Amino acid sequence: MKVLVAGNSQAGALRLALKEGLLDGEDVIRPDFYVVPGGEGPPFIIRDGKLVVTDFIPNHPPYIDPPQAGNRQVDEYDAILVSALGYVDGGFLFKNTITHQGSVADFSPREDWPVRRLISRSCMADIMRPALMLQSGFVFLRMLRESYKGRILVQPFPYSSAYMAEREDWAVRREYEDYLGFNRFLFGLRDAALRDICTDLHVDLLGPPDPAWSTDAFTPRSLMRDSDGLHPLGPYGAMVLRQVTAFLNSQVTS
Amino acid sequence: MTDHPYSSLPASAYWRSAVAETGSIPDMSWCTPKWPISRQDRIATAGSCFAQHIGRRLRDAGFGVINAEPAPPLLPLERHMDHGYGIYSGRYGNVYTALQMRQLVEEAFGLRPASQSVWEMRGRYVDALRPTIDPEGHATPSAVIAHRRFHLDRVRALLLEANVLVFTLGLTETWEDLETGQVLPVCPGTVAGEFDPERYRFRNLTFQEIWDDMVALRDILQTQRRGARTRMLLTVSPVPLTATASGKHVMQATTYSKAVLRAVAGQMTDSFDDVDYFPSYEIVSNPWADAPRYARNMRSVLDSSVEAVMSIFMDLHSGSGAKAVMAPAAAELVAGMPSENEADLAMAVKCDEELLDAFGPAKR
Repeated sequence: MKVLVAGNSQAGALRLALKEGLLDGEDVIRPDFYVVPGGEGPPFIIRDGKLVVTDFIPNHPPYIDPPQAGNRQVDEYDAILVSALGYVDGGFLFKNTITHQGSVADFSPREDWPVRRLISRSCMADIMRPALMLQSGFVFLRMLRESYKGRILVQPFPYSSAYMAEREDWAVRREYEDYLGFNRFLFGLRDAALRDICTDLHVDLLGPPDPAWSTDAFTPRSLMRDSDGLHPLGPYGAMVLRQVTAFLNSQVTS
Repeated sequence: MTDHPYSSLPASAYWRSAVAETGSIPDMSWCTPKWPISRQDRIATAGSCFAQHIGRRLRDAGFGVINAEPAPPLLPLERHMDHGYGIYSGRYGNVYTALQMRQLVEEAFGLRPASQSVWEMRGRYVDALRPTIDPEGHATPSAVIAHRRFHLDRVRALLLEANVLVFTLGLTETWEDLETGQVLPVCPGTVAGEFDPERYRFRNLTFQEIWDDMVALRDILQTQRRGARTRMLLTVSPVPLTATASGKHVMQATTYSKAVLRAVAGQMTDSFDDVDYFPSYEIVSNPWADAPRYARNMRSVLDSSVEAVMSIFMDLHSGSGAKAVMAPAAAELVAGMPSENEADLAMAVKCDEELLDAFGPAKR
């Protein structure tokens, strides 16, 4: 089965899993890669049936493996995995426009936090889906769905590393007394919006590699880079590739 | 024939020439403003439902209507009203009575303690002084209090910045919390909270009480703005009461309420140079008009009526508004009566009072 991973830097973990031989001897897919950095998802369009990067970042050229994948028509693939969509928290290094929409009073914003706007849970819920749909990855997903007839899978942006909770410079922790509650709430909204979007677009959404992680909406620290708490490591990528393989196999047999 | 006081009066003083022979739009020369409102003015809007129309049209026409509590940038426009954004200059919801407005202003300037009144609503909590502003409420009473504190900060900034307050007087009837001395925008138990007859009492505010509140409101604004005047443009809502708790027939209660409010507005205008009155009430409620003003429920004001009111307003205040034209509203006519047409619904005015319908007795 021929699979393309069209993604951002999160897709790097999948490539790492292969590169580090973590899947050697296993019967899992070996996809082509077409990725470019950007937390909000790959800013691709499809032109003449091929992927093209719209916002070319000079220092970050698209990573294409194998090189000829850059010239392939998307229709040559049996399935395309979009990796990874649903970036909602910048952690301790980055800003994210969604968490900057306002402070949700239910999670006790800290007294010393410069609140620009207090919002309700339901307001944040109403923001989530339209905010995600503005992200480059979702713009691409919509376009891909319109032009590609094959199976599309969406890998959710990983939950932040559990290490995040230990970092006093994590923006969410600096903003809220109940930062763990807010983290669960935020990713709960994100996951619900992802499900709705994917249903509407008739694409298949993968869950987190271990469903148990959704309880507190963190990824185990051992699977994520400590440098930012947002990028997964090879073992995480291996789990995703196994997930994808199992999913595609189940579709073939069912 | 001798000269007498009536012989030199303008046409606007005579019913026949000013009303009967003018069709749907009366001669408006009588509502010449005391002072113009320009696009350089910084305007705050507040009041009952009808003030929502005024604020929106002013904003659309390029007037400087302040939005002290703007919506989060990524909240879709069609969801703004659901969360209380963009309805008025602040997220206070409908302010039906002068006393409610005075209370809000006193709270914002720290002249009375910030309200701690929180109502329970389906397991969550809402601000008793604006119970519909956050449709699903908050998880804890302290979250409600935090929202109120933030809100009052924004209202204070709004009132310090605004040099014009457009305020629509809506009701004389209100409910008072005897424990806190606060008046409430809706009766407890209708949209949230629980009605306790020992705690809440009905009040039908008198001319004197409303007058006192309006004068106090004017004084507070002037004091807090260190002598800089806040001009007040008053209107009276032409929307009839949904229901009355006065024990009177609702028509009688409506007439009484509007008459008292109109009298206070008139007296304020006659007494203070910085207070003016715009006769939207008269334009809409004119029973001799030859075009319908109200929807089939005889309560909602038709979009065409609002257009007429605001067209006159623009003519008077900017000189560049569209000509005052009352459309025949043919599409709104169904069996001789206007329907609650789509245009009206599209206006999607939020009105807490409407909720009384939902909680009132079933139609018989």
